[in-house]
Amino acid sequence: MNLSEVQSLFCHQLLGSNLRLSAELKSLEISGPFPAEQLLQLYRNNFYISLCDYLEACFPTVSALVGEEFFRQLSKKFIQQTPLTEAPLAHYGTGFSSFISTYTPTAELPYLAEMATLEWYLENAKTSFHTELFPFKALAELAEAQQSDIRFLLTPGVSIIDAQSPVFSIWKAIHSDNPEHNELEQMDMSQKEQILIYPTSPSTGRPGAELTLISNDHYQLIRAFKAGTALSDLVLAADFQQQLSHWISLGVINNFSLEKHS
Amino acid sequence: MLSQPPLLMNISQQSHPLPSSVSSQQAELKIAELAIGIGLRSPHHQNFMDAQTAVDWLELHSENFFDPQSPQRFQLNSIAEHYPLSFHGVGLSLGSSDPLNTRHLQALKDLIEEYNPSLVSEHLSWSSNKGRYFNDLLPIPYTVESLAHFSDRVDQVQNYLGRQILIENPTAYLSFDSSTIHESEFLGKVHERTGCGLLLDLNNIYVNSINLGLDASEYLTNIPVEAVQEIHLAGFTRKQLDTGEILIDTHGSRVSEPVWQLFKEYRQICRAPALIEWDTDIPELDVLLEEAQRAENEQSEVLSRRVVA
Repeated sequence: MNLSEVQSLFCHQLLGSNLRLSAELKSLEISGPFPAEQLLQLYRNNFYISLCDYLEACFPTVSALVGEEFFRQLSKKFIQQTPLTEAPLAHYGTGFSSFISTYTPTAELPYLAEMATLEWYLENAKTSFHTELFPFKALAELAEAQQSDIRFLLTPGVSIIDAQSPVFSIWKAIHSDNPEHNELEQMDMSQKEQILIYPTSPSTGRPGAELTLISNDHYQLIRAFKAGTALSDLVLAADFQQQLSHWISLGVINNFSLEKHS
Repeated sequence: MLSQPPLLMNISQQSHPLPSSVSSQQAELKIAELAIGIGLRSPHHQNFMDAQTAVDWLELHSENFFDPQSPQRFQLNSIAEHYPLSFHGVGLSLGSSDPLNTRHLQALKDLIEEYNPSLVSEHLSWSSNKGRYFNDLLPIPYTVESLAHFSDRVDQVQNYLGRQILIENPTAYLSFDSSTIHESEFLGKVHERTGCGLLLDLNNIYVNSINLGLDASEYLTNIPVEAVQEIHLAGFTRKQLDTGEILIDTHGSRVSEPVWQLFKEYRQICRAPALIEWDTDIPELDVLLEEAQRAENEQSEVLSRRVVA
């Protein structure tokens, strides 16, 4: 058996875990202090546990909501169905929310997938470090004729969610310093919430992220920024000037462009 | 016609300048012989952003710093101004039969070019197959085919990076019956064929000696000492199975006494810089510094004995 065949079989063994694979395991011809299946199980455990630990670190609130044991089962299914396609783990949680929304045992809990989305966006905001400040001088130097084409750009790591469940309130309740146990039970799970998540590095110079509830008007305005809507259309929004100032000072907006988004 | 938004005048324009490029400073910071370093992990980044923590050098996992817009890179810009660095890779999958991942390699090259570290290292292992990664360092059969393949890959990487890399001996919980070359001999031949250096992890040698019945002293004797440019010291965990006990290379505890003993023995013939490596259940920084201090003490004792003799 050549190197490629050995590695192919080894991987099949890592992903599987049942006796049907025993003939295949025998053909790998491995030795060690224990039977071959136990030796493979050590590698299998390391593979699953390391990725489960990573997912748990990215999605602690999802884990708290379903309990650690169920979270491990959920993660294992996700890992089996979602190959890691690069060595760095930084992007591996991208599909976790959509997996939760289609996995049968969790598909009926829409708040769970939305919580995974919230936590993934929060993770993205934490790992996006930007200290470039808004180019006020360049903006001031624009000719009047160019102003209608201005498109304000969201800082990388900024996200908005139009949630159909109170995921912000749930997140706050779980991460509260003084959690009240009946707070979640009394929550109206059909309550909708619009949420802004953003990195704090532009405003503080240090890594970090924040999340906050926003009104529908503000949600629509940030959505328009994200879509690359030109200033000529944006100024029609209520309290546009104040909102623009606010989002720039928070670091939610850190640049502008005169080009349409690609 | 639109007027210039007047609100812009009300906004603070205070800046948060990034530290300047550090490749020139880093070029002057070299890891010396006998230097004792520690593995840099995220809970401790802040402790090294100025020069307040006394340690000879730091080693980081390259993949954690690939993203130039990450907080880690921001912190590294400051850290690299004060400490000599080693970049230790865990994801190049050198032993894999897949083609080399050029995107990964380019990200590593970009990182190296920005910081110019003293040492760059990877593992005698593989971690991907048909494009799927396993987040682990998996064992390869030590055959003539593997030796040719692995040496060719090291050559490719060194040519691409334009510099030497070090290859680390792995931990394994099994061996392949098809292996025809002893691991230490395999590493020596990779060094001979490619000119790569070696990174000797004494904990891995000890763990393998217990789990797989290898002779640690014989292993060290077989390694060409002139190729060894770095030593790792780490801890393991004992795992009880139904059929017996096995040592797991968790890098999550203090260096064990048998590994300190190997270090003292090997220090008699090798002056390569040594590193305290701790990857799981990361403790307070003081614990790592205590381990580094013990490494200093152990090697001082060895070296003073040699002078007396």
